[in-house]
Amino acid sequence: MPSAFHFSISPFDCLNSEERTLVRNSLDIAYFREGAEILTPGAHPEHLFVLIKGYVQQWDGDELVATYGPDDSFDGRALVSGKASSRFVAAEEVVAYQLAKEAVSELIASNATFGALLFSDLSKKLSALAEREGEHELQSLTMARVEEVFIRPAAWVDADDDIVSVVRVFRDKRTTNVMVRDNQTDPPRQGVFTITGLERAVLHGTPLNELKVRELATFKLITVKPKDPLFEALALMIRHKIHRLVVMDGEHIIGFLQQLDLLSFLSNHSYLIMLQILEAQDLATLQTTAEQITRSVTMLHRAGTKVEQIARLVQELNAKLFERAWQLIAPPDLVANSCLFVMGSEGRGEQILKTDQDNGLILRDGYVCEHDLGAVCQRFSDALASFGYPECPGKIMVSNAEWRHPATAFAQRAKGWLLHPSGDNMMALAIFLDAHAVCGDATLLEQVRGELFKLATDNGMLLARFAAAIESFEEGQGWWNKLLSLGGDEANQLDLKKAGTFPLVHGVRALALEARLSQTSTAARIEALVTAEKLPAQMGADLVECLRFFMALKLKTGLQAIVLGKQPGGIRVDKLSSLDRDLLKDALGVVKRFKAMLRTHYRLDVL
Amino acid sequence: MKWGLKPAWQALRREWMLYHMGDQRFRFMFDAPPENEWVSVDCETTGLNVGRDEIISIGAVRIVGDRILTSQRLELIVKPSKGVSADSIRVHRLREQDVAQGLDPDEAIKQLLHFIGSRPLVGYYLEFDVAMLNKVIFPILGMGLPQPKFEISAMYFEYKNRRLAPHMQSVTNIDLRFATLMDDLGLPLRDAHDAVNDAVMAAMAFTKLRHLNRLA
Repeated sequence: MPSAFHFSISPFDCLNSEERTLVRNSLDIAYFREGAEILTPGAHPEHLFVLIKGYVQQWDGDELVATYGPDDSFDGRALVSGKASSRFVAAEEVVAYQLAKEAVSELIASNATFGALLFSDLSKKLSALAEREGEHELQSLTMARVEEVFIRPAAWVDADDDIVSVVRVFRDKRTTNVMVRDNQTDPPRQGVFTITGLERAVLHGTPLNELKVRELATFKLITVKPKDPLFEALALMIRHKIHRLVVMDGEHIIGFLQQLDLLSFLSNHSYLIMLQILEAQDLATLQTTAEQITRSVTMLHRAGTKVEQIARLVQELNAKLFERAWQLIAPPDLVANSCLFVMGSEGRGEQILKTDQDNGLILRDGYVCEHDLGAVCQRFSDALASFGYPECPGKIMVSNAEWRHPATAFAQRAKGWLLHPSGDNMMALAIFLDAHAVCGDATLLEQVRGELFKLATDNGMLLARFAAAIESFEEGQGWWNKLLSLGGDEANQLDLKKAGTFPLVHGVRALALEARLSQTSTAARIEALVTAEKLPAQMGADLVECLRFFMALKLKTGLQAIVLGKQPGGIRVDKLSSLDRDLLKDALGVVKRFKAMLRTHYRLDVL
Repeated sequence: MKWGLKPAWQALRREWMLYHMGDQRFRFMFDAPPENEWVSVDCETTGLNVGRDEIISIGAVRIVGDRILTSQRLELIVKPSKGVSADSIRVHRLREQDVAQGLDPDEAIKQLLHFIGSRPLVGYYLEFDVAMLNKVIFPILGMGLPQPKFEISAMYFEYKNRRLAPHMQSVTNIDLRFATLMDDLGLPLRDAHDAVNDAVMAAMAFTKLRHLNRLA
């Protein structure tokens, strides 16, 4: 019934009251029995359907492409193109709203966001979403106050001081601005002299050691109070085209608020965490810092920072954390004569929340380790476990002797994976291909990787076997049906890794191995593949969007799990917003297309 | 469902009714009804006493095949001659000031008759609504609503009863409350006691029961 239409669901949540009235007046309700065909290929759809009850399946030929549940709408694309291309069938009895085509067209014309959410391909949908997430960023900005940011204490000079002595203060205090006290006036006044004033001082023509700072200081102060909201401070800086504000508490000057500090505060304290890691003198300090990484991820995510930026930052921080831990545990000669590397999602820089540790160690050929290497490596793995990186179930870590060898032996081993492509070996190879050096001599890793690529000739059979892992999680049409979560039990959790991330990442990895690309991040690999014309540009762009979406979704659900004090695990599809569910469907659809492409490319059907 | 009378007698009755019709402008009510169309009707009233109480709002929605045309609904607020009791306000949430802006009952009924045309009527405990409407219609037409009527509770009873074993049929008490039957049919129950919402819910129940009873 029209008065009961849910305007809180995407894409209808972006409509104003006038547009809502239009929707209410153009809605009918349709009833379909189980098995009824709602749309057939070639039909000219007259309505957008929004499900009230029941489930609808979308079939392409005899392949089940997607399932729609309550509050989902379909088929926007067909409505715009004027022709349905899939078959929509009521999987169970369905009651659905029908929104007239004319009304939909009118809404698209009047509301760009609505149109983007309804019909666009994935990337447009996501950017429409990003626009909305921008509001969250503003919220986090509106709540912070000036006093929360690092306020730099002000150095004082006298207005009678000459420029040269002021510059000495700049150098000694490592600052770029000073407060100037002028007692010649009545009442005494206060001003600011900054490094930008030096330009004017030099052009002034007077010898600098005779030029008084009074001539060039600004005595009109632009001030903020500690309790002022940050966005006001930012607005002041923008309005006056200045990079710092004087922070005043009543009559008392506290110091300077630098634009750089303000912006870095808004982009979180990652810099401070980095400093703490670099200066940590024991493992206990590192452990507290490791906890801060997750906290900072939460803050960044709330502030609406792009997920790749967070991932890049976390990769940096983790790499520094591992490096520092290794330096604290391993003797210096071992550090110098080996290469510690991380693999898997950590190596690709796509890990955001802490997952299993996948790491290995390559020793320099001929280096004789005087220490108990096993014990050192065990300590390192234990340290990482205490930081919150659980031990890898496959034991792919330095504490396992299989994952620490001299370079030549390591290369031999890697070649062995290629020559005996058993399941375990393929997995090891896949993980190793993403290796990223974090400490020691990185050339050792490059040496091993080079040896590996030499062998990975145009052996099509072998590459096909490697790529075939994308099918290993194939559960028929099973996981599509998980989109149809009716209950709330564990079984209804979609393992995003199996369903989406793994086939995408591994497929790209296989293509990268074939093209012998040294890039380790999936996005960089895709870019290189597109450049080398091994991958259609549109497919590349779609895959990158999907990867981002998967990462963001994993982050979102992972953070929720952390808040609830649980281990991040599967994704409860029934708990997703209908927009996320929509995007997930689109993204899984892209992965499906990509898999089909790989199947033909590697002829996986003949394996 | 047929008229339940022989066609010849039907034709005769129709002529007689038309001849006696008070306002000849409403002859269309006796036209042949469009195929596969119904109108679901619901009234909110000041109370449940047909003799004393009055209509304060009318909701009607057309049904075409398996579609409920909520986009072409009829929503009328009617101005009653007397006040609205507090008890009934709690039910339908229409206060005196809300209904004061309403239409005269005659005007509302004329709009409703045009909306219904010759389509059969659908409703839950339709008898009461029809009796309330007929109170207004009689002075105008000299007759009540002539269209065939489909009673949801009767259709539901038929459906439930048929699924019982024969020896249970006469002894089992079938719960005919609206919320119960909507829940049992797996249909969404929305904000009740708004005339259009009630009419739409009845229309959904009708659509589903029509299939259930025809399939048996």
